[in-house]
Amino acid sequence: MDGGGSGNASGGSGGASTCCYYALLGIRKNASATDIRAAYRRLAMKWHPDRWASDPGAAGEANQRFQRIQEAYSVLSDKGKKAMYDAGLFDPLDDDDQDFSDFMQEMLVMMDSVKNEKPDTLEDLQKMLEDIVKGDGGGGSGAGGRAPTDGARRTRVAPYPQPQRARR
Amino acid sequence: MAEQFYTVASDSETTGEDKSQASFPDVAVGIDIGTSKCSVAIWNGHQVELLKNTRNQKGMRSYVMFKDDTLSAGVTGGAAKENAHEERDILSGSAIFNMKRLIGRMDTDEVVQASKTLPFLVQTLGIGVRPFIAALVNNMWRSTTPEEVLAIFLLELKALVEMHLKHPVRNAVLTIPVAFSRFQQTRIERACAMAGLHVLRLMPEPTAVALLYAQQQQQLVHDNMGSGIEKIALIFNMGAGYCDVAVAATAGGVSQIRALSGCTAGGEDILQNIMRHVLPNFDGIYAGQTMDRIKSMSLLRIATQDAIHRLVSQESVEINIDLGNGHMVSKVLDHSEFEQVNRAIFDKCEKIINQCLADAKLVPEDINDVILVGGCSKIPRIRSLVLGLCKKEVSYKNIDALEAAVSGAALEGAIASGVNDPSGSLDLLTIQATPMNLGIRADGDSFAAIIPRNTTVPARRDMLFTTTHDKQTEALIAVYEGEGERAEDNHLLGYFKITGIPAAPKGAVDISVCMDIDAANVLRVFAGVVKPQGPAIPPFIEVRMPTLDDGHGWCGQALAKMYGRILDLAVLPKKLQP
Repeated sequence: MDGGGSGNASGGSGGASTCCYYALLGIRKNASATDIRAAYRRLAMKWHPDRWASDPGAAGEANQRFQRIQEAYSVLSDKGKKAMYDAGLFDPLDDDDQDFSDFMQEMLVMMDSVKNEKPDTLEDLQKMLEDIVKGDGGGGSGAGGRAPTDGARRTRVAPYPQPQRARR
Repeated sequence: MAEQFYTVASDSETTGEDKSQASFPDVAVGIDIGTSKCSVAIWNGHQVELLKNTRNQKGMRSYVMFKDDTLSAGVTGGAAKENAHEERDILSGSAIFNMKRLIGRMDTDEVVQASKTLPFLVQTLGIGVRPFIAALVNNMWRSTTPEEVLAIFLLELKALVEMHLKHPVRNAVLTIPVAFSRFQQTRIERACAMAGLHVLRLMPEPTAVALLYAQQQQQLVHDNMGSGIEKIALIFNMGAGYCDVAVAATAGGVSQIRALSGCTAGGEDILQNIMRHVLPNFDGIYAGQTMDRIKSMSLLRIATQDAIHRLVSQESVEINIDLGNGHMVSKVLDHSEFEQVNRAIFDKCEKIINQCLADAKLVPEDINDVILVGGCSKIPRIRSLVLGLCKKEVSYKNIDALEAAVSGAALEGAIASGVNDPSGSLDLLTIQATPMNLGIRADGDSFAAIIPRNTTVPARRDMLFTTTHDKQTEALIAVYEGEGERAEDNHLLGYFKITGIPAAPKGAVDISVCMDIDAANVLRVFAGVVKPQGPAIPPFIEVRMPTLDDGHGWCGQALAKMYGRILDLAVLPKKLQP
């Protein structure tokens, strides 16, 4: 699993796959919060540059890997952001848009209180979100909604050469 | 003027050295230089060991005595002369203490202003320059700087460690207050360099405690990263000079710092409040730094300090002082009066605890353990305040309040030195967070935060900006650190210009400013044009920060006045970003 995760991490960093973060952490899409946390800690212990103090040459690569792992965890460990991500609406460039994330969390709480037991809850949620997004074409949510449909948009344009261009 | 016996080497290249790479294979020592007390610890191959001085002390006073043309620090306390420094000697004007409170501050700082009541000489002009500091030597005031005093102290500390280990010591991990700016951190590093020490890490004090807690939890549960059991600790640290809070999530040896908060409030402030309360007209009785004033201040300080210590275990205490010349002090101080006089300090503590919990998005019920460290954590009001806010009856018991930070620093020193322990005792990791916002001046005098507070370190963030004038070909990048909404309310770290921007209508050019913090907390800023692209576009500029050697406010004001409008940038709205 670790090997697979690492392999996907290299490939996933360039793509716009919606399972990118899950693959990065080496977990299933239905992983529990505990599983997500355990995976994060295992990978942090492996890739944090402090753990590579005895091999300074590899610390640069470790630094980049750790930051990708951290980004994945910060999204998947936040209920609101996770729901947006699972629905294909999360844009990492807006990851400090706390208002919408909080709104998502409130919706989740309300849904839990209603005790909706339909098996396709996630699909319903996605439809609801798409309706909301269509209804607000001019706002930031609109921009967020468009992002996943264009793969190039989700890839950060590197304004400068990376310290290490070669990938292992 | 007699010549100094110490030779303090200057190493101006220290900040250029890459801290990410250890220069020597030896293990870094952990050093906790508190405002009042100092301690040093080392990973001895099996566990953390706190070192003792020749007086068998693990906690040593943080001061340097300049008396009689010889310099001696609190490390040995003059033990070599068979005549230990007494408290009144330290308060005679010949010793410099509170270095950690003074280092890296300007004379407009309220901490510096408050320090003018100390027995050694502190002079200010109130214009944003370094304060003038001097010690009384042979009846004359001899000038020095907090960095120099700290370097002398560290030199003795280094000698102590090397005597114990019987080999040279080069690398160190030092604890620092959360509220320390990056400029203050550079002053600490410079003092270390003058003493021949290379700083491997500067570790916020509560995060050092969090690392020790992580090790204890790991040994307690005996699980090996497989379990998802996570414990959340709130660490409150209050010493003589600073108050810090951290929220750390811990599992499997990994300590993830979720939030940090700090302020300048400590035992020194409490002491001065009580001194002013006991003798309100002190400044009226003594004008200028006369010998009478120094002596009286010394008596008042010793008596007040003793009273505060006794108040920890007593309901009320009597303060009786004969200052001479007919000035008598006779007062009874009880807990409610003590708390009333220091209400502002306790409010500060409460504020940073609440901020830390809010930043971590936690409520008190989420906290598993409350860890109280630092000398002031013994004050009953402090204990009840912190435990009350966290809705806990008791605090975590397995950590010594005075040894926790230096123990954590020693652990970090071993890890950062690449030590591998087969027993797994060093299978630990601190995932640090930034204590302050980092960004640049933009949109006039606004502060655009690029790396927000509590971002996990290492971190790399960029933000897009654009020109504010038609055919603007240059832009000023002024880098700031702090919590203020306006740039000038924050610490200026450095500045540079982007040149060769293609002449175009305003808003047509995209300029990226990227900030990168590595695991050793080194900050680098990259900036340049990203749209349009082409051979005519100049290369990106990379600057390691801070670049300012003196963080006074003049520079920020001059930059704003000269270049604030013509070289301004505007933040590009997010929805327009690629």
